Amino acid sequence: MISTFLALIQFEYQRISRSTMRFVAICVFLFCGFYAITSGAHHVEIWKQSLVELESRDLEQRTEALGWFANGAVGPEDRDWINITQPRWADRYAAAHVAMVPEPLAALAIGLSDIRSSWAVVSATRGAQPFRTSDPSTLGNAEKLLAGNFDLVFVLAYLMPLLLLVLMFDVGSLERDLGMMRMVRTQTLSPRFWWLLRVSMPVFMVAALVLILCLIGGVRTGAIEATFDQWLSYCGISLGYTFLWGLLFAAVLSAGTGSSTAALWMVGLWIGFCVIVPAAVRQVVSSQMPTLYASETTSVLRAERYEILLGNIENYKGPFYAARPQLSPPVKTPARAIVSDMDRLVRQAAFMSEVEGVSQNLSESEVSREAAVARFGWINPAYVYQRALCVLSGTESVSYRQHRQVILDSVKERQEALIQAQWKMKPVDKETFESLFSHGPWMGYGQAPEKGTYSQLLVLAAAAFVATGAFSRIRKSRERKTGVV
Amino acid sequence: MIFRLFLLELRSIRSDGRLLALVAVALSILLLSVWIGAESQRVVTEGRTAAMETSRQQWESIDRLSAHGVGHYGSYVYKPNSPLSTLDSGVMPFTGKVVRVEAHVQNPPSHSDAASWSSLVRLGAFDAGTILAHLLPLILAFTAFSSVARDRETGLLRVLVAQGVPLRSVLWGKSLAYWFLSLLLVGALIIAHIALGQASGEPLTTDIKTRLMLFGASHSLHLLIVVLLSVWISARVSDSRSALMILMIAWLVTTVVLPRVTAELSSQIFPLRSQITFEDDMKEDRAKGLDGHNPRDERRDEVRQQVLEEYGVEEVRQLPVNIGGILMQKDEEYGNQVWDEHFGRRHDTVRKQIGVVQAISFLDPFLAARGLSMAFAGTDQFHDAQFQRQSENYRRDLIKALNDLDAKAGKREANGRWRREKIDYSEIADFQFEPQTVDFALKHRWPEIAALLTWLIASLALLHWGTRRIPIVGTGR
Repeated sequence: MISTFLALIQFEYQRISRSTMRFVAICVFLFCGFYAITSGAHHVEIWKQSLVELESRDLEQRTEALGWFANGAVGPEDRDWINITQPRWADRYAAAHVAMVPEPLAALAIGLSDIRSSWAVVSATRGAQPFRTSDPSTLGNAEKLLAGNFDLVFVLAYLMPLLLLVLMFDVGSLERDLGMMRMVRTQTLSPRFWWLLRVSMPVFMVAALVLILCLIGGVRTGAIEATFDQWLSYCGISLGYTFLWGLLFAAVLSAGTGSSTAALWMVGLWIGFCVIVPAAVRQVVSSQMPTLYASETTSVLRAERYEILLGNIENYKGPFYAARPQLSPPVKTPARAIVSDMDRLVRQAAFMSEVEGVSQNLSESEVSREAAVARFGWINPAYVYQRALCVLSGTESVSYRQHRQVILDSVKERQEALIQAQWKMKPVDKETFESLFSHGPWMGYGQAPEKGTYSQLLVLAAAAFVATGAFSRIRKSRERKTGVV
Repeated sequence: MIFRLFLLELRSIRSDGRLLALVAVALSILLLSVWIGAESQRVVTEGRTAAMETSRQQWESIDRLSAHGVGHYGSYVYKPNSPLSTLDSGVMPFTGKVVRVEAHVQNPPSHSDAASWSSLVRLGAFDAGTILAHLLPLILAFTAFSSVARDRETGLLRVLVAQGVPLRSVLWGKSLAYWFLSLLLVGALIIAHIALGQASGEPLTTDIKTRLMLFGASHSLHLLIVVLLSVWISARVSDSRSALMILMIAWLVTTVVLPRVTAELSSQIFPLRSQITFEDDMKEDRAKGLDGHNPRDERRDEVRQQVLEEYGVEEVRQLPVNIGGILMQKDEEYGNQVWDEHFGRRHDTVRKQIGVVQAISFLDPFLAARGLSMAFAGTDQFHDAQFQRQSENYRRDLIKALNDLDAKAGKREANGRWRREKIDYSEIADFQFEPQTVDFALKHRWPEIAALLTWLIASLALLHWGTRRIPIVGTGR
């Protein structure tokens, strides 16, 4: 057994080293992996640079405002109507953003980070809403987005199965093409062991290459040091995906066909699982649950907002005080300017609850669309794998939904702070002004993938395992009938 | 002779169940994509109509706002789907569909499909353009990889050459047979598209017909290049397995790796400034203009003085117009220059990035085919930029009309106060999108046409003159 094992290792080594095309395929794969890691790291660098710019912009504005406090002024000299001791101006000058910070693994799984915005303004009086986050895709080159990103997930999800195909498609089938299979069987102690070893060697070799790329990616991005557990999960899921494809291709080879037929079947599987199924699932789900023209959102942002701004203030005071039992309407009639500011905040609070409602609906429709996609997960391994890694790296839609919720919470928190300050009917002092900066956490959203991810991949692996057994049985029965091996 | 060899190859394909199955699968996928696309198109068109109706209803019910207030209230513009987007959705999923049209600011389109999808959106689209440009070349490569190699391995090629059949004719016969298959698929697709369009009552204008024809022609040319190269490689390489691997690596590099690398490269050669810098610079430049809402702005005073001189009066209260409307329009005109400068620079950079891709399409025919496919379907970046331009023009016209109404719709009362008239805003027309003609696509995509033709000439030359070193006898066995 051991000598067979060693002989087969030597044979596989020779088979690859003597085949220029296979050698080229391995080199191309590794080159693509290195390029993907570099490209992902470059993307994350730009992302981080944006956050630095954002921070310096906020700091500049805050410093200007704090300077006024220090000098005993309430605003710029040339605009004497600005008074940062009033809550609405304090809100404007207490510049703050909520930002999504890239996880170290984001360089290895870019996900949606070049499509969705990773930051938003925190303001309770400038119509800030979670939808205000500009759409980077519409300001950039959409043809670049269409071409797709070149990150490690793409290399592993798309290119790795093709490398496996190149290394595996003639395992056993070439012997069949050359009419050598009978000889192989007679000269081997256990034909099954021989076949298993031959089939598993390319799989283990590709798994080793995948691990090398993950290791380089982990070192280059600092993920091993910063988030070792997540990096480990990244490697584990990638290895599982590699073995899944190994199993699928082994099922094809177990049918006992010639090398060209095996290659055709393998390419068919790759096209099916990596190209047709993901695209078809997207098309089918989007025709069932179209995104359409965001009518509900646009209505809230315009018609309903104006209805609140122009409507009778008494209609909004009841729900406002009911939601804030710690507040009560002023006993004496305050100055006209204060009444006006109070009314403005009451209206903003009413608008905010509309925004919360529409944001909730938007998230629910996204979740139900993703649930519809997940129903096809067991035949959609490339997507399930990609999604798992993007969830780990905090660049998947679930991360952006959480980010949107954090934006909403931050805006609400800011709003409540302003309401408290306004209802005290005292000017906003420096401490209160500084406390407004604390709103808007900057954080990453990497997390463990949903449990369904593993079960979906396992279902497909089990199906491939069953198919391997079934094809093998059919082949044996055919060989017994025809006598042709 | 070539025709006989063509028929012989077709017969050979017909007798191979695997190849027939592949062609049948390709045909089914193409027809399915057209059907699903048409269904999606119907839903999206209905959705757009409903959104437009809601928005218009909200517009017409404006009651208590001044003309400039209505400018702030604004309107929404909804991007229509191109009639051929069912064949190739192009950049549509990645670009915004809704533009908020309001005073003082040029908003970019928002609410793209991609912004509300998971990362599934990155795994390609299920449309005819993708299938024809991505998948069909792979299927053709898989059907043609053994076309000559198999004949050489079985000895048939030696027999044919010994009988005086020129090797060139063999390659031509085989190439035409595989191209014929792809023409059948492209033809079936176009017929299916027209039939579905007719069934749903969509008009088939001359422009759509021309676009359809060019869409089919560009894909057919690309597939011919793929077939010619596949057959030549099958002939040139000593065994079919090596031919298969070369074709697969070539497919992978040209359709999967190079497009992504090219896109990355283009953005590195011509980087776009970050969104934050873009917004900051615009804000800074905008602040240099006059501030229509700032009563103490010096530039505002200058304009006021000009208006007073123009009307030959000394005080604002003597003007027969509302100066507020005039100031707002002046402010708007300054803002427009700022938007033109900054958005223009950004669009120029994007155009340069696309230029890099167009240049590299001389190395990769897939890039040329993809660019042409989107352009003829009316779904490329250039067509999308036209929508943005038209919506911005509409915004400027709308805000000017509103500012003019703000300035003129009313009268000066005896006490010098301006009394506004009640305005019927429903008389202001909604946005109407003017689709681009096919000339627009041709004008912007000539590099891809040139690239595809160069590839075609090179492939034809290879097949015609590159037969000298083709082995007649196999060395594999």
